[in-house]
Formats: sequence, C-alpha cells, structure tokens
Amino acid sequence: MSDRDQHSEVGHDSHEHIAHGGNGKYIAVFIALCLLTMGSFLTYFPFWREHVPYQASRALMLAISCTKAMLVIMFFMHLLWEANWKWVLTIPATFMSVFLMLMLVPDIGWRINNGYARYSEERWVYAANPQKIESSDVKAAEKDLSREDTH
Amino acid sequence: MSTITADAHVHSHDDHTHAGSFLSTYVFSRDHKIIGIQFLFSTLIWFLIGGLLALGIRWQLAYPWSSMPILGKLVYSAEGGQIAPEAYTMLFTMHATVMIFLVIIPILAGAFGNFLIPLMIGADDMAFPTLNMLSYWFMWPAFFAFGASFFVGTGPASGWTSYPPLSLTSEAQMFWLIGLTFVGVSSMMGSVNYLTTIIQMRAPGMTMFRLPMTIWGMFITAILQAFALPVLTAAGFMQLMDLKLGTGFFIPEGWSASNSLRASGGGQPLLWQHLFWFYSHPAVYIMILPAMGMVSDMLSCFARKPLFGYKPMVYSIAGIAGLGFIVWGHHMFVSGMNPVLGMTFMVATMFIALPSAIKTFNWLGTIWGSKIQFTTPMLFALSFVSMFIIGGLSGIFMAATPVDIFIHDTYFIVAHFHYVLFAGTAMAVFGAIYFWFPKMFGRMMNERWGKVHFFLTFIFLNGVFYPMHILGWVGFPRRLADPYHYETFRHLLPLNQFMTWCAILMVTTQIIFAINFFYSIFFGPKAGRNPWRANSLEWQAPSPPGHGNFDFQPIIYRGPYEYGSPEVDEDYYPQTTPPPTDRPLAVPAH
Amino acid sequence: MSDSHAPKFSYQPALPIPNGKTCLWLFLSTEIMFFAGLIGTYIVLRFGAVAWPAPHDVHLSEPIGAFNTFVLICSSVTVVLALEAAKLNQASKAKGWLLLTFLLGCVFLGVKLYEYNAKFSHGIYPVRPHGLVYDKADIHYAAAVRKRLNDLKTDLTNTGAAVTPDDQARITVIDDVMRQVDEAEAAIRNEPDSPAGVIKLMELAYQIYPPHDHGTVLQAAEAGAVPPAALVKFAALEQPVAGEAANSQNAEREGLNEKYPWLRLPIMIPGGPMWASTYFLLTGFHALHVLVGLIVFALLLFKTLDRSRANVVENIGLYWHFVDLVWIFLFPLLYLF
Ligand SMILES: [Cu+2]
Repeated sequence: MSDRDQHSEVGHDSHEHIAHGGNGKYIAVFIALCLLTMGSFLTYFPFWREHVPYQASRALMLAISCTKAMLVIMFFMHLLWEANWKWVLTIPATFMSVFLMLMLVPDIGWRINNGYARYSEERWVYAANPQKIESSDVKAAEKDLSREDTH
Repeated sequence: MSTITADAHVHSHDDHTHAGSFLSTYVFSRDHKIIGIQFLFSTLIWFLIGGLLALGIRWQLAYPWSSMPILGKLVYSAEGGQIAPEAYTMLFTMHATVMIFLVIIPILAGAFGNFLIPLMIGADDMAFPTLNMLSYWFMWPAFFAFGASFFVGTGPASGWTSYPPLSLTSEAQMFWLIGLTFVGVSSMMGSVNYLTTIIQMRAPGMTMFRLPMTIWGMFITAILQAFALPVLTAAGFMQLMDLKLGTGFFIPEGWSASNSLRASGGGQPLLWQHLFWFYSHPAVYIMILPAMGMVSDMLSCFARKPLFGYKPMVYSIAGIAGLGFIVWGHHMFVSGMNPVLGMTFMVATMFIALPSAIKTFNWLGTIWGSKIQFTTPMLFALSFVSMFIIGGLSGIFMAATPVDIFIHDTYFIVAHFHYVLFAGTAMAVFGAIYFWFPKMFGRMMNERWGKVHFFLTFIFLNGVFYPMHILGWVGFPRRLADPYHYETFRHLLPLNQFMTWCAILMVTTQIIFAINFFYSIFFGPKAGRNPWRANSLEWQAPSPPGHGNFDFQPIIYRGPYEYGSPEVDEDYYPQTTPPPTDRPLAVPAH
Repeated sequence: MSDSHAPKFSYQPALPIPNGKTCLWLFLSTEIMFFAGLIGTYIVLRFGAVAWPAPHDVHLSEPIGAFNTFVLICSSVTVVLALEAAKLNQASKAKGWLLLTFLLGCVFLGVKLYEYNAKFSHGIYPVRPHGLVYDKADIHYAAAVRKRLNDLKTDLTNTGAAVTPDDQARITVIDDVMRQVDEAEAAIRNEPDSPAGVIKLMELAYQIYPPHDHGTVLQAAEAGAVPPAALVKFAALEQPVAGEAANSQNAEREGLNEKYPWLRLPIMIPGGPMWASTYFLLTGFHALHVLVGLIVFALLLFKTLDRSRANVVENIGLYWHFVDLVWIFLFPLLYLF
C-alpha cells in the first residue's frame, strides 16, 4: 500500500471511462472469446487428436484459457482502466494460487513417475485397473507383445 | 458475495440506531465496540474450557490411569474418573481446536481487531457494520458444532490437524468440520471488512506509515486470513464429502476402516496435509502478528520512547507474512513428502528467523536506556518479548530437516508452540486486556492484583512449558495416552508431575484475573480519556467511546510513537495535537 | 464513504474506488484461493491417477460443455452492457440486459442439470459407503455385483404372485450373470496366482459396462508409467474389442446395464470414482456460485437500475465475470484434457 497523502474523495462513479470506446469493444471481446473457445474446442475433433500430440493440445488449451481470462479481466472487469491498485490485489492472488498448485505437483502429481520415485510395486496392487500380475505368468505373453500392438 | 454487495449498499444508508432496544444494542449490535466485547467474552469462556481440557491431559500424564479428582468424577463417572485412551485423544484434539479456532484467532482478530481498528485509524465504525455483526454470529454455529462434537461417540480424536484417513473413521469429525467451516466463513467476513476499513477509512493525515503497529499487525493478519483460509475451507469441504458423500479425495487405495466396506480410494492423504498446512502455517502468524503489534504499542508507551525502527518493524511483519506462505511443508518433513520440497521448505523457513530477529532487536532497542514504567501491561509485554525469543529459537531447531526427524512429534514441538502461543500470544493478550480495559469499560483494572496475576502466571507457565524441552529432547512422544508404557520414559514421571502441578496452579491463578476483571468493570476507578498518557488515536476518544467513537473530527499530524518529543513539554505528543505554529511550545489540546 | 451514507467524519481512502468495490475485490481474491485449492486438488488427483476415464466412459459431452461456455460468455457480455446502460442512467435498458443475463444463467444451470442427470442415470456419482462405480474388477467388485443380483432375484421371486414370463426372462439374465460371477470367483479362489480369474471378472465388467476409450491408460503406458505386466492384460482385453470394431465400424457395444436398465449393476470405470469425486466437486461449487449470482440478479430485477445503482450492478458484474473466469479454466480441464 503506498503512502499517499492525497485527500481524494471517492466519487460516485470513480472511473469516467465512458470514453473508452463505447460498447463496441465489448462486442469485439465477445467475438474474440468465442473464437478462442472454438480454438480449444478444435482439440475435441478426431482429426485434431490424430495429428496433434495431446501434450501440445493441452498446452494450447491452457494458453487459450489464460488469454480468455486476461480478456475478461482486462475488459469486462475493467482492470485495464483501473489505477495501480489493481496490481496490489491481483498479483499476490495470482502468485499464491499458482504457487500452491505448483508445490503440489512434485509431491503428488508426479508420484507415478517423477524421475526418481516410481509408483511402487505395492501401490500397483491397489491401483485402479492396470493391475500388477505375477511376472512368471506373463513372461511368455510379454514376449509376444510390443507396445504397438496395444494401439 | 450477495451479502457483501447488499451490505455495502443497503446498510450504509441507515445510520446507527442510538436508542435501540436491549437486543439491538447489546446482542445484535452493529457497533464494532460491542461486537469486539462480545468476541472478548465468548473467547474468554472458551479459554476457560480449553484450559480445563489441558488439565485433563496433564492429569493423565502425571498420574496415568488414576482417577481424576473433581472433574473426572463428573465427566467420566462411568470409568470411575479414569481417562480412557480415546478420551485422552479427544482431550488433546479439542484442547488444540478450542484454543486455536475459538480462542486465539477470534480474540486477536475478533475482539481486539474489532475494538481497536476503527478507534485507532479514526473511523466511526467498520466499513460494513452488518457484515461485522454477521462475522460474530457466524461463530455461534461453530461454537455449537464444536460443542456438539464432544458428545458424538468419543468425540473428535484425530488431532486438531485432522489427518485423513484416521479422521475419516470418526463420526464426530463431521461436527468438527462443520465448526471449522463456520469459523472460516466468520474469519473471511471479518478479514475483508478489516481490510476495507483500514484501506479506505483512515482519518485525514493517517497515512499508512502513521498507523500504530497494532493496526499493521491486524492488517497483515487480515491479508493472511483472506488468502489462506479459503484453501482450508475447500479442503474441509472435501474431507466432509469424503466422510459423508463417499468421495475419495483423501482416501488412499485399498483403505478400509474397522472392517467396513472398502472405500473408493484413489485419493491422496498427503494432499490434505498440503492444503491444511497451506492455511495452518500462515495461521500461526495469524495467531501472533496482532500480538506483536499490540506489544510494540505497549512497549513504546511504557518505555516513553519512540518505537525503535518503525518502518523495519512494518516491513518485517510483511516479510514474515510473505515468507509464511511458502514454508508450510516444514510440518511434513516426516510425512513422506518429496525430499526435494523438504529442502526448499527448510531454507524458506530458516529465512523467517531474519524478520523475527529484526523485530526482537527493535523491541530491545525500544526499551534500551529508557525509564521503564513497570505497569501490568508492560510486564506482560516484556514477558512476551522474552518468551518469544525462547519459542522462536526452538522453532529454528525444528525448521532443520535433520533435527526435525529426531524431535518430530515429541514434547519439543509442544514446548515450542506453547512458548509462542501461550507464553507469547496469550501473555500479550492479557497485557492488551489490562492496557485497553480503560478504553473498553471506562474504568481501570487493579494494578496490584494485576501484578500478582502476572508474576504467578509467568512463573507457573515456565514451570509447565520449560521442562517440555527436556522431555522432547529425550524423545518423550506427544499424543500418547501412556508414554510410560515404554521403560525409557518411566523416569520422567516426577518431572511430569511437577509440570502438572504448575499447570493446575497456573489455571488457579487465573481466578485472580477473573475477579479483577469483573470487579473492575463495575467498581474500578474511573479512567479518563488517556490514563496511560499514550499517543495513539484511540486514547483521544472518550472512555468508553460512544456511538461514532469520536466527539471531534480526528486529524492526524504525526505517527503514534512521538514520546519525549522536544517540541512539547509533556513526554507524549498525541497524534491529533496540531504542531506548534507561531508559538514556540504548544499545549496539547486533550 | 459509500455513496449515500452521510459520513460522520472525513477520511483519506487509499484507493479511488467505493468501499463496496474494494470489499468485493478482496472477496474475489479469497475466491481465487478457494478455487485454486479445488483446481489444484483436481490436477494432483488427475495426473497422479493411474487411470482416468475418457469423457465418453462417463457420459461427458464436450459439445454440451462448449455450449455452456458460450452461454456464460454471452452472459458476461450482457452483464457488462447492463452496467454501461446503468451508468448512462438508462434504467429500463439496464434491466433488460440484466434480465437477459439472468436467463442465460438459468440456461447454464439447466444444461448443468441435464448433464448431471446423464451421469446420475448411469449411476456415476459418489455415494456412501460405495456407489455403483468401481475402480477395478476385483473381489470387492464381484461381491458387489453378486449382492445386487441377489437383491434383484429376491425381489422377483419373493413377491408371492406367480412368476410372469417377463420376470422369468429377467431371472434368466440374472442367473446368466451370476454364473459368470461364480466362475470368476472360483477361478480367483482356485488359482490365486494366475490372472485368469481377474481377466474373467474384467470381461464381465466390460459386458456390464463396455469401455469406450482406453486412450488415457494407453497414454500412461506410452509414458512408461504402466508396467509391461499390466499391459499384457490390457492387450488381452483389447483384442476382442478390436476384432469387433473391424467387423462393424461404428458398432458401439451395448452393455448389460444399457440393455436392461432395471439391472443397475455395479460398473467398472478405471479412475471412475475419483473422476466423479473431482467432477462433481468442481462443477458443483461452480454451479453454487452461479446460483448465488442468479439470486442477486433476481433481487436486483425488482429495483430501478439507474445511475445510483450502477455501483451495485458493477459489483455483481465483477462477481459474475469471476464465475465466468472459473469456468474458462474448468471447461478445458474437465472436458477436453
Ligand atoms: Cu509452520
């Protein structure tokens, strides 16, 4: 919080931004939002799924979501025209929410295979569907199968 | 959300009813002072309950499986006054729950935050008086839920941390979680209200860097609550769903309890610990930052010296709060958390020693070379500083992963947080009650009995909590109904008996406080506006302040710590006194 | 302070905005943290899960989700237009836009209810102590199927009335499934070290509720997360499905639960219980926020929305945009990932 000495009175309508281009900009943002939504919805179609790796699709969808979020925050929530106080609130909140999620990832999200600690054999016993099967029983079958067969 | 908008725009219209009924004046009051005092009384009652729960724990540790006198006969008549293991687990769970959620947090933010914030910044009330009232009344469902949880089965018995899957085996946990949710909603409503008030409703001239440290403490605390609490609320909802709806957020694969049907599973118990400590580590600062602020004010006032290093004090509070958000993993060093995170959390935790040390040295700098007035509040403030040093230093031990692996879940941690929370915060709260009592009720508390109360409490608390360091260092485990089951700990029984007697005497000592408190409300000597000759704004208002708080428009000319200023004859220089203009020496107006 | 309140004292606010808006932004930051906790939970549980159902396995329709996204975007525009109208003192216009927003919000909730119903009708929801959805075909699953079959049979035979041909047909189906359960359990009991019994159970589970897509599991397999041993079993199960698909291109296999809706046998969806937990958690809390917004809209519709209420419209608008914002992230995370 800055050490301001101004005795500014709070006006009835603190932002006189009727001059920001009328309602046209809202329609423009609306069209942009719809197009962006279509962009992420493209990943739904089989054609896309066959040609684009899912990691790329996910990255694209996240990027699109962030863009859409920025559009909504900046234009619909008027943050573009607000004074500097907007940073005081939005940056800590964004930082902390992202930090919380990031710190959860190494501990749990990567439990299956995080480079040094794989999903343990014992956990496989209790895991959902793909079960650990006694290796002696499947040694033979394993030889016949390569990963491509499962596609 | 709806409440907030409604509040902002509906309730600011009507002006505060002056001659209302008893109900609207003292029960459903929207006056911040009344709400603060309501919080104070409610929390003091819970303080008593929490203290009695602690005595139950101490009794079992000193005289295991023997019949507890007086209370045991009442509560555990079926067992002949004996505390069963489940009952012991319930005792320490509810002791912590009550003390944290129903005493310390609401007494700091609810009682003192409510009472002091508008008075100290020069506002006529909070920004949203109805929201403020709701934040108090949302505590009552929590009181009832926590109260009811005692009577369901053997009560909540998975520690105040409520780790699943253990916590999912108990039916009482539902009430516990509902109580937690209501405390969360109440705190959230309070914190957005405090923040708005402090940001928007300061008197002319009251810049952010002229705020008393108490307000800074409350301000940062409110930020912590606003950002950290929602995560716990979300986690609490999830645990409630695991318990009642059959989801499996925190239920590991293949888990079933007490021969019941296997639950769906696939969840992560560690996830609860992460979400829980994401709130509960900042919560330890919620439980001490306002106390630090109040102690700073008392120290400066009774040392009759300006607070040493005001801005570093502010920055270090903010630093503690900022760091406080990125260290929660230090509670999970032995939980199976990714060791890579352990290192990060350890280093970040160690860094908190830095701003804490800045604060400690600034307090010492404040009293350095001063003519200290050893009033009761000052004694409590001084004991806060010294006890906080002990509690803070033992914290560094546990921040170090290798050491923590050894002392985790021993009495060392119990010693640590009792030094910080009881010897620290609770002593500061006692001091604050003695200090602001004249402003709250218009009368002084008895100084002599106050000092007796202080010295006895101080001696006995060290008698209870200091030996815990020793216990912890030899590995005495916490949360165990009968540690003497193990041969190695049997020789510690006499020490535990000594601690228990200190605890009993300490609780008994509080009778002095209670009598002094209630006697003084009615028969204490009348206090003027400014009995301590302090600078900050609340002392310029009438005692007790009427509706709207001030009988003049407060205009602030300086910070709150101008003691011994060369500009005036008096050794204090209230924030509202205009500076001398043409005359060389101005007489303070009030 | 706030507009119509005759302030007792003058203040020096730090922010050039009304108190209500300050409070609302603070409240929104607490909401950000609330949803960060929820979404973080989802990310962790989902990407930490061994298996996760494909949308069609759990009757999740991407186009419907996209439509709902569109509805929310529209409502965001209308609420901002309502604010602009209110600022220009065009009360009736503002009310019109607000009414439209309200209706769009109702459409969103209606679609949400329709979606929920699609899951509920297939028994995909968390319930205590155990819903219809099972993670894997193990002895617990077999026991649950057996229990359901026994219950059905008792209901049919204990009526006292004569057994109708219709009932007789049902009993035949029940006995047929029961025989398979018996076989699988016998296999597990007799050769506990062999996968044969489990494979039998899997086959039964796939008969009851055929899988639509193993994409997620296979992705996990590609990433090396699934041990080869587990893949063997999958391969065995994929083969007949693949064969069938070759015969008739679009033949969606009909499960027993769909063929005989009265059966309502427990179904196996790998990762299904956790999917249901997180899906209903996230969308449920989001829908709750939508509902709160709708209530405020409904209350506002009874007021004159002129310039003096522009602040109120702005605040509820901010809240509504935030609800939209949450959905912007929920839609790809829940439907498309
Ligand atoms: Cu901590």
